[in-house]
Amino acid sequence: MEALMTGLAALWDIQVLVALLIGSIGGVLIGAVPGIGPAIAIAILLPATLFLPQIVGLVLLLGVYGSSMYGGAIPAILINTPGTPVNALTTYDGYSMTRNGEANRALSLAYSASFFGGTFSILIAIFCLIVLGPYLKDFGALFGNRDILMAAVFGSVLLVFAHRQNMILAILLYFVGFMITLVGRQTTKKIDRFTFDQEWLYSGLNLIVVIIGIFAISQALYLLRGKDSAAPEIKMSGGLFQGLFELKKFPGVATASACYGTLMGIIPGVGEFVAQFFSYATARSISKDPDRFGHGAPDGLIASETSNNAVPAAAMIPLLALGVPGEALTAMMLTVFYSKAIKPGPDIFELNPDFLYSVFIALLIINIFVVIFLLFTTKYLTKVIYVPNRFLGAFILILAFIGVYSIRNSTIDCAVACVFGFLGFIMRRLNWPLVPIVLGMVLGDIIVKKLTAGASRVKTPWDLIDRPVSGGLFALICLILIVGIGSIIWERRKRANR
Amino acid sequence: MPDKFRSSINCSSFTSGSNDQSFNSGTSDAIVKSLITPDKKFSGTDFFKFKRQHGDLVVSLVFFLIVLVLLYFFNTESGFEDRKLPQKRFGKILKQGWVTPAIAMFFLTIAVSINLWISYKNAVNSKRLHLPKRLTKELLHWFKALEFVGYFMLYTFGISFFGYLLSTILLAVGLTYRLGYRSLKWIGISFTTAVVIVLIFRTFLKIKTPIYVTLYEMLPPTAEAFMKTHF
Repeated sequence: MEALMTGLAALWDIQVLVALLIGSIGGVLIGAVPGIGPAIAIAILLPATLFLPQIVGLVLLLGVYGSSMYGGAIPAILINTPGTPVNALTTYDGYSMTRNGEANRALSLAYSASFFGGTFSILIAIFCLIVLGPYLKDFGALFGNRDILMAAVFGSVLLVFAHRQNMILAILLYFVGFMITLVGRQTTKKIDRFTFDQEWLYSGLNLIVVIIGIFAISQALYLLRGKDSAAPEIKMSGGLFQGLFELKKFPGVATASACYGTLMGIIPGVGEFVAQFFSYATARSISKDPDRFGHGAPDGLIASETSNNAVPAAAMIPLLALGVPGEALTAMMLTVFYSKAIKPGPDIFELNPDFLYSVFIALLIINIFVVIFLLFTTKYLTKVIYVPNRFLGAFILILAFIGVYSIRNSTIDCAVACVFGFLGFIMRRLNWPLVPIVLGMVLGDIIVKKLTAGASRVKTPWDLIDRPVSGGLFALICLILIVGIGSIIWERRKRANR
Repeated sequence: MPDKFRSSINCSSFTSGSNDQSFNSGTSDAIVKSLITPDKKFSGTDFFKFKRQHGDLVVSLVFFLIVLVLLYFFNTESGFEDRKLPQKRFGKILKQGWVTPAIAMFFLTIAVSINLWISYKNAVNSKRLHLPKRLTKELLHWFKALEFVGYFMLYTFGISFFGYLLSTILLAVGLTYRLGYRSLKWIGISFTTAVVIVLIFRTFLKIKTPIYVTLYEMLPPTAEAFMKTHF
């Protein structure tokens, strides 16, 4: 309880609360504009927050992280264009409701569902911390270098299987990211890896520079080379409070979706899409009118929004406990933590338990701020979705400079970001996934460091997995590989027999 | 439950129409015109759909060639030439700098080869190789994006000459004009946004921009110091 109070006290500061408010509102705005995702925004803003006090900068970015999906539902419901990719399923029923003249009802349902999903997973996390906290103090002792190494390998395997339709591409791009982390001078071993005697490569390629290139500049180029889509004018009718309490008519759907979101968020690499898929399928199976799904079913909308908003807080659990991110956004948050001198990992339960409470309480406050903000400003906020795509692209390009240059004051970094931006643009055109490159860099770095650090205790290959945690994780990896490959073979046989 | 909603979920029998579907409400004889979009039957695979596009083979080939180059230089660029083998302890091998690059290159080579093969098979099966014009169009689309990369780099170098404020305004207004938003309204919006960006990031948050700015050096000392501090 002492840690809870200390965590709460850390947030009880006017600067921190203002940062939370700005982050939350900023996140909603960023989510509401199709074309800017939270990962892009965090990448651009991260260097700018280096000049702010640690906790202030952190909660500002946490606000963007926790609130963008709320904003993403607005264009998904009003103009059939998801603000963030995870709001894609919201268009199915949300947009149909808008076309039925129920835009405000759909929006308020989305807000209440999002709030329920977000709060549910946060409270679960806080409850676990309170109940398990005293026992988790020794959690760090269970994790040595080899265990974290195996956790990173586990995250990598999950990442590959999460890209089921293009696994080879995911493997290829993951190892491209892995190779990028290897570039540079290894001072302890006096080796220059893949530097080709180029002085500017000695310090390696900066993760944030690559991320800004791959996500922000590529998106700017994609928008600049695209066409402006004319969004239809939306007639808003009905009150925003109309659907707010309608959520309680679907308690089963809301609870099941929140559980799916929390569970899928905890598993690295799985995330919102799978959670939504399960939630939507479950909601349809228990619905009295399943044919209405895709035509404006409120329970469909609830399933989608509850599950995707339950994920961010849940995804923080493996990130904070193991230091292993599951997707681009948590990889960005890991970079945020590192930049603020906070090292997520098993030791955090012993060294920094109050920080854990601060994070989850901050997320809870963000959820409250956002719902209040949205209920009173939606009327004005809908104007944001009409910003022309190409105009937006121009300003993403301008903001990308701030993100890149302020890290190391290097013009070469700007050129490197451009190269990755162009590569990312081509990959977007080809529908190649961008996330494996970033996770390859983050997880690859962990693998390299932990493999080297843990090597001194390894006599035989068996020693890598002879500890309870590393052995258990290795068994899980084997199981996933067997089940994953088995299901692919089964699917192919089934398709061939048709 | 609101009446509007109750009546809409009662409707059961859909009759196909054009884009807008009409359905019998079931409560009256009147045919109610619905604005609902055509049925999008939900499938889990919708989220994970992936289809190879024009140009996929070109990029797959480029990746393959890059990996070949890396393999060629692997000996000298990974520390492999200084390897110490054999070792009694497995850990002493793992500690050597070439091990992780070797693991990464092993998987990368396999993945890039399979990807090239799949991409080639896909291009042959979908007869994409017979459509060189489509490929050329796609490649042109890619290279036209380099125009904006050029503007970004010009902006990066321009800051050292004109300062952050002037360069940002020039790029914002210039790009807005280039994109076809040439009315006073859009130029004004882009000008204001550029100034706001500079005020937030440079003046308020004090992010770092190039210290030596040729234009600022020409100003009187007080103005120079002011511009360097805030813009």
